[in-house]
Amino acid sequence: MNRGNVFGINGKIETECLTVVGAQYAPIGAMCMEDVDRNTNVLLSFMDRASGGFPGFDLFVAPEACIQGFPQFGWEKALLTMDSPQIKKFQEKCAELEVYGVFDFLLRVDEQNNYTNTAVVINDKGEIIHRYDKMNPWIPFEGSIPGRSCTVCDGPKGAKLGIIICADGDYPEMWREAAVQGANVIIRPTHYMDPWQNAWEITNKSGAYFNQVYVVAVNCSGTAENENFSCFGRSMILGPDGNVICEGANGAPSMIKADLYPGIIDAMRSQAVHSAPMYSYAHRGASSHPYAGKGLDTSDYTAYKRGENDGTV
Amino acid sequence: MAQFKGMLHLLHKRMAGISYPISKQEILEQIGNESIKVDVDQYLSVREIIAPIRQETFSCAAEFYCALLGA
Repeated sequence: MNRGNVFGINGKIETECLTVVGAQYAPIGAMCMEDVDRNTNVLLSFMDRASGGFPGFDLFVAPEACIQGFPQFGWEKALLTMDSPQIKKFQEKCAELEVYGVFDFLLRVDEQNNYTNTAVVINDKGEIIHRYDKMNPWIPFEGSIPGRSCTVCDGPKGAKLGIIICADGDYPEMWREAAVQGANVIIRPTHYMDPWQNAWEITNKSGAYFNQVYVVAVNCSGTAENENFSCFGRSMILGPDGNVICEGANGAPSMIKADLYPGIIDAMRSQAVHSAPMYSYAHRGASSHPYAGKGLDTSDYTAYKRGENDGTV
Repeated sequence: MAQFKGMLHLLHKRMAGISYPISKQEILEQIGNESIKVDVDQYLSVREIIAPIRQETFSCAAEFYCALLGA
């Protein structure tokens, strides 16, 4: 019985080591700014503890709606804007600790309480260098305005960070979109709830494997004040083969940490002969004689042709 | 007599220093004259092995091997 991949990976691979820390907890379902402030202090405390527990870490990841949670009522009183003082505190903390951070906030769009579910990347100087608006809100419960693109940004140590948020990860096209944009690490902040533990594991593993990418999935953990659902935690960091590198506690606050090598992902995409999904999905049958080395692209699929088969017309 | 199964294995060894993207010509310049055992008592150069490839450039290893195996 053969087990494992075929073909060795050729070439000399040079990569830096990216140390990632994720923090899972149960932010209060914020119904006022005082709740937001309490959550902010908890999360800042986690960042400090990460600096003590994992000295030298490069990237800190918080769960979805990390200082707002998802209360059934009163959420509109806790919406933030990009210049809110709470967000500023995370910029200052990233600069103080000289780390990058990924934080997800519910941002007010207008006075009618429209909002976006937005993840930001803060660099080690405290600058917001990237934002991503969740493209697949958890309908019908989540009323955020969907984003229109999933771009990536440069992170530390050779990382190219793509972000998808919670329910985004239930749609394979979201992972693929981030990977096609060049992500070698996909960050997935979530508020993933019971009873979907199996879906959580399946989607993270398949997202990593299908797209040959590291996945950092950080979930809320616990039954939060003012919330109806319980989140199970189990934050996880996965390798490009879909295997879990480390996993957080089930239902308890905790941190996870792993050392990743983003340059390996780039090398695999360039040097892998077999198991090269980012090549093979768009070069179907590329080892058949008529299409040798080229294959057929994705245009034969009908699933995502705008307005034809997606139910929008 | 058993067939020799190691041709791709040995070619892959010879390709160890190849980085992508790369052209067919550049591969020939770098390792074209390397010899590879392709059967029990038969050897070919990399040049001879990749001669049937119709493509001139390769973005990644998967593309190169697909072009070779489909040639």
